[in-house]
Amino acid sequence: MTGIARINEPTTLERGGGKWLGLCRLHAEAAAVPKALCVEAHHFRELAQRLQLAEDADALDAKEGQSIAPLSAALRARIQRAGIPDPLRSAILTAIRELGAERVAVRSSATAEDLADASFAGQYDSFLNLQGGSAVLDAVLACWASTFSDRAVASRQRLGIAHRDVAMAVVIQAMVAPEVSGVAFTHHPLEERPVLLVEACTGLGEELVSGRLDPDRFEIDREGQHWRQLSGAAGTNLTESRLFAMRDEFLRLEAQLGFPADLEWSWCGDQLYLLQGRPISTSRPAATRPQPGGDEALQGTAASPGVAEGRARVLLEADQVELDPGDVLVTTFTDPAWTRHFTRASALVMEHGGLLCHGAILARECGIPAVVGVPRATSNIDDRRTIRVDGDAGEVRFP
Amino acid sequence: MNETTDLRLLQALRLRGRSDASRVAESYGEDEAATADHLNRLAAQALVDEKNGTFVLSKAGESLRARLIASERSQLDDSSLQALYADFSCVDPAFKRLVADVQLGQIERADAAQHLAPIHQQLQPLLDRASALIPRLSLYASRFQDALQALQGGDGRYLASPLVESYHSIWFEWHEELIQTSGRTRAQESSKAEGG
Repeated sequence: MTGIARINEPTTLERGGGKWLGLCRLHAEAAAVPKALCVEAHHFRELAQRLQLAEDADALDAKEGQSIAPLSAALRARIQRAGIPDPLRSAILTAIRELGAERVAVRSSATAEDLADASFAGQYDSFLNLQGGSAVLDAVLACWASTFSDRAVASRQRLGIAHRDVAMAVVIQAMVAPEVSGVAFTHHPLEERPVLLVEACTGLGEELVSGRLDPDRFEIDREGQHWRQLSGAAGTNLTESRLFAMRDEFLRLEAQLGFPADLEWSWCGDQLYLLQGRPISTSRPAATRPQPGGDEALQGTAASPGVAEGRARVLLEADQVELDPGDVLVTTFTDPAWTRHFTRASALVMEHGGLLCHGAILARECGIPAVVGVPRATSNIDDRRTIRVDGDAGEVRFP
Repeated sequence: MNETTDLRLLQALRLRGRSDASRVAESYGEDEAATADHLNRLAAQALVDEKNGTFVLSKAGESLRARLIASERSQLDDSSLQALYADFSCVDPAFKRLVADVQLGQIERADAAQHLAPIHQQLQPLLDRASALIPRLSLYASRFQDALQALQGGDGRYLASPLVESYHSIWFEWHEELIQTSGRTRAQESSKAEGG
C-alpha cells in the first residue's frame, strides 16, 4: 500500500507535513532519530474530498466576528464518524508491526505547518505512550480531526491560510524512554550573543514544550569551554561532558541544516536522540538575516507574525494624531498612552525593543505584524509613505 | 481637589493618552461621573483639552504633571525608589515571557492563569512597598487582583488584551509609574532590548 512513508524515503511538505519533513531532514543529516513512519497527507485529502469538507471549511471564515466553535466541532465530528478506511487501517497495522516498537507516539504533521513557523506548536493533537493497534488507529483519526481544532482554525485565520488548503499527515514514532529531554536553540533566541540555550527537564520533553514545567536552563558558549546554569530546579543534573556533547552535535546539525535551529532532544542511556528540528522562529540573529537585495529594506527583529502593507504614520508622541484604520504605526518606543493606536494600526515598526517589549506584546495580541529594533526607523521612513511590514522576516520594505 | 488628587488624575490621563472618561476612570479609581466632573474642571483651567468627549493633557497640564511628579519624588527616599525599580526589573521579564509564550502557542491560553499565579505572588510585596512609599499607587493591588480573577474565571482576554483591563494593560501602566517615580525615562529603559 502506498502512502505510508519510511524515514529514508524522499518527502515534501505537501506529502508528509512539517513535522515529518523536519524528522526526515534530521535523519538525512545522520542525527539519531527514533524509528518512525508517516501516514501521508493524501489519505486525509481523500477523506476530506469524500466528505466534501471544503465548503464547510470555507464557511469558517464567512462568519466574521461570530464564534467558530460550533462549525469547527461539526467538522471534527464528521471526520471522527467517517473513520479510517479499512485498507488504510490494515496498512497502518502492518506498518507499526514492522516498526517493532512496544509503545509509540502519534503526532499531527500538518501541511500548512511550515518548518519556519512555530506558531502552530501545540495546536494539533499528539499522543504519547500508545500500546496496541486500536489505540494507534484512534489517535491517527484524532490527529486528522484536530486539523479543525479551534486554536488551529483561529491561527490560520490570523495568518490568512485557507482552511481547505490544509491537509494532515500523521507521524507514528517509536517511544523512547528518556532520562532527560528538552529543547535547544543554537543561537540565543532573544540576544545576539554567541551561545546555545538549552532547556531541560527529566523524563519526556512534552511538559517542557507545552510550558507546564519550569525547566533547567543552560547557556553554553558556541566556541570555548564555558557554560552556566541560568535557572531551574528540574534536577536534570546534566553533566559538563553531556552539555558539550550536545553542543557539538547541535552545531553540526545547524551547519548541515543551514539555519539557526530550534531542536527537541532526549538522552536515553548514552544515546542523544533528536525529535524535531526547525529554524528558530522567534528572532533572527543579525548574522543570518537575509540581506537586502537590489531593493532597499530595513532590518529588525520579527516580533509578531504576518505581512501588512499600509500608509506609515511616523509618530513621536502618542497624542500627536489619531490613526486611520489600516495605517502602519512607526515610532521609537511605546508607553501605555500608545495602546489605543494598536486597535487601528495594521502593523507596527519600532526603533527600540525586542520580542518581549510591550509594543511586541500588544501587536501579537491584536494580531498585527510587528518589526521592532529597527534602527532609525522614524528618520528613514517618511510619514504617509506606503510601506510593507514583514513580521515573519523582520523586514520593512518600500513597495 | 488637592495636589494629590490632581496628580492622580493628571497621571491617569498621561498613562491613558487621549481617552474618554470611562477609560480614565479605570486608572483614576473613581466612578465615571466623578471622573468626568474632575476632567471638565481641569478643562476649565486649560490643563486638559476636550474634544468629542475625549480628553488629553494640554501643554500646561503636562508641565504641571511633570512638576508634581518631580516634587513627589523629591520628598521620597531615593534609595527605596531605586531598590523598588530594581526588584521590579527582576519580575518584569518573567511576566513578559509568559505573555509571549502564551501568544506564540508555547503555553495554552487556558493555562495562563495558573502560570500567572506565582508571578502575581512575587508582585505582592512590591505593590505593598510602592503603596507605602507613594499612597496614590495603592489602587494597583486591586486592579491586578481583578484582572487575575477575570483570567482565572476563563476570560483569556484578561492576560494581555488592550481592549479590557487586562493584567498586561495594568502592568504596562505600573511599569511606567515605576520608571517615572524612580526618575528614569522610557527612552532610556526601552533602549534595553525588552523595555519599550
